Amino acid sequence: MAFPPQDPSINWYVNFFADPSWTSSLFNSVLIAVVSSVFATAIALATALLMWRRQSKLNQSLVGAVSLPFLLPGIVFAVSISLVTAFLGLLGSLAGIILGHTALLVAIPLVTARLGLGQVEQIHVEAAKLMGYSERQILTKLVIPIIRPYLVAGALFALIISMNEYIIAFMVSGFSIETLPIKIYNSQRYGFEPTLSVGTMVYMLFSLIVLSYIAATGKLWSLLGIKE
Amino acid sequence: MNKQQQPIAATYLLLVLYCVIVSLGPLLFLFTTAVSTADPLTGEVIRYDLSNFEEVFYDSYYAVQIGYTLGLVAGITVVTLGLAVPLTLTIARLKNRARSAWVVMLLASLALSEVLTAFAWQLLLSQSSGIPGWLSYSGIISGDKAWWPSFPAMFVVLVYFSLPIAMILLLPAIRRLDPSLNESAYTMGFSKTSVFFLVVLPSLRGPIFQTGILTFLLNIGGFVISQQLGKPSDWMFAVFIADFMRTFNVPFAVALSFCLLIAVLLCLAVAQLIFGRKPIEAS
Repeated sequence: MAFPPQDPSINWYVNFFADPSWTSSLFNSVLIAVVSSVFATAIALATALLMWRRQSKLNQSLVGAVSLPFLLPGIVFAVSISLVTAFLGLLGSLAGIILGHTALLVAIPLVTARLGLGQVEQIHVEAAKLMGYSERQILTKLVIPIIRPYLVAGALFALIISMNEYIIAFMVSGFSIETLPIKIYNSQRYGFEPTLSVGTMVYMLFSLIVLSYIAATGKLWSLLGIKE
Repeated sequence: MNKQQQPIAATYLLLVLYCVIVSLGPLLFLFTTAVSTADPLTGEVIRYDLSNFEEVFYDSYYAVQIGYTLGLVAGITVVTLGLAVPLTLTIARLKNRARSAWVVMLLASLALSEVLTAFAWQLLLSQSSGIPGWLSYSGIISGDKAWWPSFPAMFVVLVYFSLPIAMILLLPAIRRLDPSLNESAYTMGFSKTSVFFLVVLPSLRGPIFQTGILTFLLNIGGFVISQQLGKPSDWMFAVFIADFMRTFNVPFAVALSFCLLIAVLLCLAVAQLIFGRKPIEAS
């Protein structure tokens, strides 16, 4: 590389999308991120609904337990979840990384789902009960439509973080699977090539697009806990 | 159990099972592996004892490294908070559109992994295409040295990495600040600096403490930035853990993780005792 830049072109972008080692890493990252964010959101929704229904000590403990992996120092959780995946025979598999990422990410959609549930007026729930709605109907016809944008935003936040996560993926991948952050890290350590910068740009653009979408939906401020 | 309660009971069962696997399980494995000794050839556990911990505390090396890491991360937390509070105050006062743009940018950089952040800064601090190159090209500095690996580079990047999360966490609290408090202080003749230190900071005591804890936790478990931008003597404790995991010395790596976890919990308890108390209300 030289300064000032010489012969500008999009060759490195072409290289990135033509090289199977980069595209397969990108595919692994996207697959892991999509599956783990869906799982994390489902677990967060279930936990948040139980807590919303009844604020018992058991439910509070569940909220604490599902959020714990997010609060542990990153390396400590990565090491410990690698031991669990090894025990379950999932070390070096996509399923192992998905389990680790799901565990890490549940806390994010949990926060957004609880913010969304805070918007559900109890008076509406009572009215629905008086009109003869069952608990299932109240959930599907009243609660879920209100909290849907919060769940989508939580899932998207989780998706971005999973796409970028390195330490858990590195510990659980067992040198047999490469996600894009692992590929970038390995390429950095064992010889620099500008294709790396393309990978970084892909991530930056992806994050910016997703976050701009969340901002455009108008829920950004309430997701951050800000009343406008 | 009636039909309506069955799905709830099933949800409880699944969630408890999930928590056992991802919350209780990891801690249990952490503890049992830390006290196990494996056969170097077969990798099978041959006994359970405290030999890994004896090795950790054989001399003061790892204790010093934990102390250095805790001190470094505490320093990063303080500097991050010192920058985050005034910067967030500035962003909070912007108009809606400008504030949205800033928040999206903060969230985008917050989402970037350590790997990408470290790599981007390596480029920025490199001689061939970064700031030293630009300055050298324009004749402002002479010499052809990259600015990394070095302690200042590592420290700056760790602060840069922590700043977005601190600002995002502080923003809601700052937006909730009652503007009439500041206005009253200005009416009473206080300067901007006095209002900041005597009104704003005390009002944000709780959020600043919580943000500090999260910033501390975010940094204490990371290793990529310190390994990529610091010299070996600057590396944080997590680098040792990752290296022992890489070389398959798992029980020792786990024992180190366990020590780090205990040290972090002790630090958090001390911080809670010192800073977490509510201020005494004036009578």
